[in-house]
Amino acid sequence: MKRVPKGVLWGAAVVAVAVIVYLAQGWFGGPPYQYASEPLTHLKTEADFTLQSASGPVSLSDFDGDVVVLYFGYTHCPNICPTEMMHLAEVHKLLPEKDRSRVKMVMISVDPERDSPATMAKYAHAFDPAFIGLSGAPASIAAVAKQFFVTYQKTDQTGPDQYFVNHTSAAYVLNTRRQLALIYNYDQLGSDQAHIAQDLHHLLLRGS
Amino acid sequence: MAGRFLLTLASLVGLALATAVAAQSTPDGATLYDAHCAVCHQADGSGITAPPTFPPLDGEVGRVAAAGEGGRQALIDVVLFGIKGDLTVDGVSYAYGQEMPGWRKILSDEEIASLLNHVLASWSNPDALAAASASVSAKQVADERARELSPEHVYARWQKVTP
Repeated sequence: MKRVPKGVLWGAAVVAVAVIVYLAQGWFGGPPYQYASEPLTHLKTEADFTLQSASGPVSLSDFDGDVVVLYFGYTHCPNICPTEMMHLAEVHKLLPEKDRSRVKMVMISVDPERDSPATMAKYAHAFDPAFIGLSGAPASIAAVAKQFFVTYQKTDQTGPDQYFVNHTSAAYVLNTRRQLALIYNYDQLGSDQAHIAQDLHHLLLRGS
Repeated sequence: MAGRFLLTLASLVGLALATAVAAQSTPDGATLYDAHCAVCHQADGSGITAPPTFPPLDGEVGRVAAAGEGGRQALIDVVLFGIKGDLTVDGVSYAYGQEMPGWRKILSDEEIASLLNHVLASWSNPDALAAASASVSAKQVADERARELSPEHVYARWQKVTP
């Protein structure tokens, strides 16, 4: 029998130990990351739309490689929107600094008749100068809302420009490939901000 | 010649930097109001009253501040912690589940003091205040900040001090 050189044996032993350690990490490396909201892993469709910002058209694909948080609301909203926008601003502040420019917070008007792109920009910036406000033709807004199953309806109308709009208040998180990954409701955004900031960071790290 | 040009350039850059630093260190109440408050309460403090959406700050803020120390604390609390509950201002009821968010994580004590002093000095608020002394200091904001109130609690305090 031919003797195997000692060096080769040692090398094989080191490789074997490395393989065992690597596999053990996979087996015993703790549970997978827990999101604050149930991840929508089955949704593989890439969302897309083009709406109007104060400085021209903006498409969702402009943010490819970034995580996007979409919120549908309106600037005459007396209750949910200002508080939810504030919570999104608070989450944005909790992100590691290097993540902030890669997590795009986008508010889309469900009241395009009163909210111009400039009005939306000013409103979004009131909460965080990095936030993006979008409006557009009523039909374009309707098509975008439909993509995310967002509903909205005028109510309590007292004049042509005097009304409230009832609307879905969730925030929709798209991963770096524009796939809907997470949905947060109003209460979670108020109470789970540190966890939500971690989720967004995790989505950026995972890259999908 | 080139030396003098460089000297002028250097002093211009210095001046620009000094102005930028000064602008950063003293938050201007009017600028803060325009950036953070006017989108709802409007540039002229008139709010949106039809349908009752955002209560006006014109007059009301002066009246509340004139109610004394408690009134000024309530104003600071609203800005810091927000307010949640039905309000009646100028005989108009704001009862559509109104909720204003608190700005405590976005604005500093100095900024909130500067912002409130701007509102107290604007529109008909000085008239409503009459002779009452009503400037707000950053120290007062810091004292209120330490209370960590909820928007519902602020509402209860507000109800006690509104005339």
